[in-house]
Amino acid sequence: MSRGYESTHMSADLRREIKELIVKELNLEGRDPGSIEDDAPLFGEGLGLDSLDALQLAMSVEERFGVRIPEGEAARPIFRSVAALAAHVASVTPAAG
Amino acid sequence: MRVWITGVGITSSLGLAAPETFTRLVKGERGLSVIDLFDTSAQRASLGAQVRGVDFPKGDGLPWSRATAFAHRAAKEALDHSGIDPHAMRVGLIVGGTTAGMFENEVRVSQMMAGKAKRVPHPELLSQPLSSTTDTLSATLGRFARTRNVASACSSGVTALSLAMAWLLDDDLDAVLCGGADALCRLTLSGFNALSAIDPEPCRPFDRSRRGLNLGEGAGFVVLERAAAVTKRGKVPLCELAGSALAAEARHITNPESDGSTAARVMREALARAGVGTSEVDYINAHGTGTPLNDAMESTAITTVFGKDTDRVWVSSSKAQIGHTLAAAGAIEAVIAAMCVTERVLPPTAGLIDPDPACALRHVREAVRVPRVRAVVSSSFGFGGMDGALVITEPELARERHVTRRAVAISRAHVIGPRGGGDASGLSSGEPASGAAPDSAMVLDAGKARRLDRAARLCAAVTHAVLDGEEVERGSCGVVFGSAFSSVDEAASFVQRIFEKGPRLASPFEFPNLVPSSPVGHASIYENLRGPALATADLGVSGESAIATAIELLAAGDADAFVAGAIAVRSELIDEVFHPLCDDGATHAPRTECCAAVLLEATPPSDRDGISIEVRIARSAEELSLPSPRAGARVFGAVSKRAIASMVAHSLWRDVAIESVEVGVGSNEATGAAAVAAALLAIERDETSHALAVGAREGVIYAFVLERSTRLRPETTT
Repeated sequence: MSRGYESTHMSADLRREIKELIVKELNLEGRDPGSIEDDAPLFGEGLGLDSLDALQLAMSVEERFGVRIPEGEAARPIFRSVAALAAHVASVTPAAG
Repeated sequence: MRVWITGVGITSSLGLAAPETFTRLVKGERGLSVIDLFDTSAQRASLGAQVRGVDFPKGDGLPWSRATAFAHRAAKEALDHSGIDPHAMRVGLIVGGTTAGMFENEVRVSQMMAGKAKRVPHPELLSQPLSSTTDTLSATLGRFARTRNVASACSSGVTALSLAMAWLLDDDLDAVLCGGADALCRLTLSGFNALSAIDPEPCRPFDRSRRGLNLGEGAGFVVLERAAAVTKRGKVPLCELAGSALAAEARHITNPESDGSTAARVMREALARAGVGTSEVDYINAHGTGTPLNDAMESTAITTVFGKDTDRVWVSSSKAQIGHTLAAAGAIEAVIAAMCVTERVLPPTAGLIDPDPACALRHVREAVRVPRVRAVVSSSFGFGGMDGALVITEPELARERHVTRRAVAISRAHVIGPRGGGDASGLSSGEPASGAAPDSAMVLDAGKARRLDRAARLCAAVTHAVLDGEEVERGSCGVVFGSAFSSVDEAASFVQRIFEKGPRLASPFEFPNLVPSSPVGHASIYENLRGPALATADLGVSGESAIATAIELLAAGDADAFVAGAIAVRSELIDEVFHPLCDDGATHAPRTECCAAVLLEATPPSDRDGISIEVRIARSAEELSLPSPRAGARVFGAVSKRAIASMVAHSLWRDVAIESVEVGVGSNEATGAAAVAAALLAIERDETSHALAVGAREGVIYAFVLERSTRLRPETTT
């Protein structure tokens, strides 16, 4: 069975899944995952997350999707937004498995 | 009052004694190796400063752990060095620690948590509580007059030495043996790795390419005495502990504040209290962990405090050689600072090749021999923003300071228990309380509280309630909570997850909450309290130990106000394993959840109306000395009336009416704070003007004397 996220439909699902992961893992109690914009910045401005949130999110993404987020500066563009994170996950997730 | 250091001891990866450690530090040697205490193959980084060659006795019935074995070795070295005998003198003991027997017990508790091991009270688990270290040292080194376990994460060692200075204001003690000890374990290695805080290579403090710390383990201890007593017994001091300061950043649970303002504040305050100017400081033993954030923050703080002296003062960090020994670090580094003064040689920062321009300090690159080391500043900064600094000098460098011991007033209380939250009213009647506290008693701002676990939520909610509507200066208000077992369920689950999913999936969010002082750190952040923040631990008298600590620090001028109390969070493992294990054989009701605290304030030099509180601590009811009770006085406690009666049986309070809050709060490790709250309430309601709150465990009894007073006068000592 295909587990790829390459189709438009699947990437919308992936983005939704990532938003739910963010709300749950970062304890954003009362925040509606649907209210997080695809392209809004996750850190600093926007959701107001910090480096500890980034570490938790990286660990959660690795656990859920089996995708490692590189450490340090290399993580910055991936964590720019939900859309960027979804694109990274989709790009390294095996299409079948 | 002058406080002299008369003995020192270190157990580290570089040596099992202070002189050997110091000699190898000076040579620039590094005590790093791949940690082989447990399987580290799946860890991001596995290099550490492991101590080898220290064993401990088996089968002597004492709760030994590697951490306690390190503490024992370093404490004995310090005692022998100073020549004092705890059997012949009144000696206090303070230990800073965060791990105790975590390494020995983490596999078993994680299996118990996962239902893979039977939840029975194994005697080996007695090394899990932090108090196991003072218990073991008391049984092996001497019958100490007073003991205390303190934790403020990586500044625990500095906290222990600071509290010891406060203790020496009390003529009741001749000397204090104090220090810190921690041991490597799966939990801390996985946790610091989860935070990406560990350099897989030998670390490089202050270097441009630094990328983290190397964990270490060990212990450091010193013997402190009042100068007059040292002179009297014809002993020459090594050096002087001239000043100390503790404060909290109240910003973030793991990240240091970038401008280093609190780090600068503790250095400045410690120097001011020592009466030492920056021009007299010749060396700084830095916290210098090697993490990008710490070293930059610390360099900014040093530059802020030292100004033009920054170019002159030598700076080095010992952590690239002996690792970051967590709770032991501040104490080990205090010993190193003391030896720099006596040996006139300064050890280098190993691994520093290319100094970061953001850390523009006068780094010791290779050991330097100097004609004199007049004064040394040693700083430590811990998770939860718990900062501390010590000033160690040549004897009599600065003028002797006359310290006014301040009286302490108590004015507010809040108790959260199975019946909900409120003041202490009604706690001595009604149906026996059972179970956990209702969530409705912990109403917090969801955004501000999102990182708080249950223990932290309880502490923050109680702290908030105690301060609500009070005009307390937050900048000098401290917070201290006693907790006997810390967050043992959460620690067990964290370790279980490592076993199940591998250390890469250890949770960065959960790890900081497992540090014993974290609930306090969260409360300090939530309420913006920037005085000293710390935790204490002493099984059934954890609440008493916290309130006593606050009174002692307030009396000595370490803070102007304190929220002080205790927490006993709901926990399957404590209920089923630790509570029965630590229950001195008496029949107790099932354990309940409880968090209670009071507001304590040092009275200003001018007189002031209010309710005063003082603490009397003794090793037994027979030794407890109390003032005469006023007519209509009452005794409060949180155990059976019979047990309370036995605590005052040998005092002038033996015929005084007794009230127990046990029925209202149940049986747990935090009830001592509820008993003090009940005593306060009785005086506030004019039911009495003089109340005693008592609590005890084997070998110690705490008695808090509360009195309606129209004039609280400071006591004066020197």
